[in-house]
Amino acid sequence: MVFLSIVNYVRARGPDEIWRKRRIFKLAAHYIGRRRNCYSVAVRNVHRALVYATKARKLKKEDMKELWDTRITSACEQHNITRFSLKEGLERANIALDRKSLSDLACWEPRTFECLAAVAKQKLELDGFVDGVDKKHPTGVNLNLKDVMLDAWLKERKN
Amino acid sequence: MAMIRAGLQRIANIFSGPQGGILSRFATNLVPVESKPVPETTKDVIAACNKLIEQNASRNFAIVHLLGKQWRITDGDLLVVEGYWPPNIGDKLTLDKVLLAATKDFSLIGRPLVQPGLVTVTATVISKGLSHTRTHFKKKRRKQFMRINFQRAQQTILRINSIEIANKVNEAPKNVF
Repeated sequence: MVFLSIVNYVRARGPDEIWRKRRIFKLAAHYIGRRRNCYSVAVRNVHRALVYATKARKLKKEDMKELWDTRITSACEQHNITRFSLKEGLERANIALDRKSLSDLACWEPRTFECLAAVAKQKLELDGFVDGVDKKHPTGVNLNLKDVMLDAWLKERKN
Repeated sequence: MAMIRAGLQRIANIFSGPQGGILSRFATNLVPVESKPVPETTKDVIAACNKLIEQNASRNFAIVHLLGKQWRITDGDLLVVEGYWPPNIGDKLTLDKVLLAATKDFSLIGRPLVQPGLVTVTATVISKGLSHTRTHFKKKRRKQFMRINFQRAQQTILRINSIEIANKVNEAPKNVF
């Protein structure tokens, strides 16, 4: 912008005003109404949206964790075992699958998940472990534990 | 001190003795587990598994541990690994930390890893680049505080070439490492 009179030069808030506003308007392009067209409204909304986006990156991870837990819980209920005891049993059997892969298996590979549940349950019975946390008994089908054969190695007590 | 420890040991034994301890009675209303070994069945199962592997009946999948994350993968998958990772484009890798490998008919569950040499997962690095720009924006209302930063993470894309299970389930493990 070229200013021929000194008055206009003083009024201008610097040469980069258009570009400064354009940066905000670009981010507000998909908004509706004044939020899109009026700078003073747009800038508030864009700032708020950016703050949300920054915070949501952390929240997304927490939400996924919750979702995986829900999936594992519901898959466990089918096999009459609680999520707590499944986790305890797998840990005692040294099986290091995390939430993500367990829920993945529960969704897409139910037979593998059933095997894991059976191993966990058998291991807990061998250890004589009582699940005192969850008093509510799930209403699924009991696993057939007769076919579960654990190695001698697995039968050792984990200290 | 030794006496106290012996006493504790005895108490612990009552609760968790050989036959599952007295607590096992409360654990379940099922019949107690019969711990007699069934070697014939075990052998049959293992033979059946080995035969299935030989026939190559269905496609395999595996759960591998890579850069602190676990991935469920099968043949031809693409993995996007985020963060600094040395391998370059075109490198052929074998992913050794296999936590679980399975086909349609059986699963091999590692404790915590499947024994080395049994499952071979090969992968190729097909691209290295950066992720999209993430805006890190902080603002405090009425406090004249505003910070903006931009960050891009390094990304490596991996193609899983094959997941092969050798038909030697139950053979003695060879210590490769």
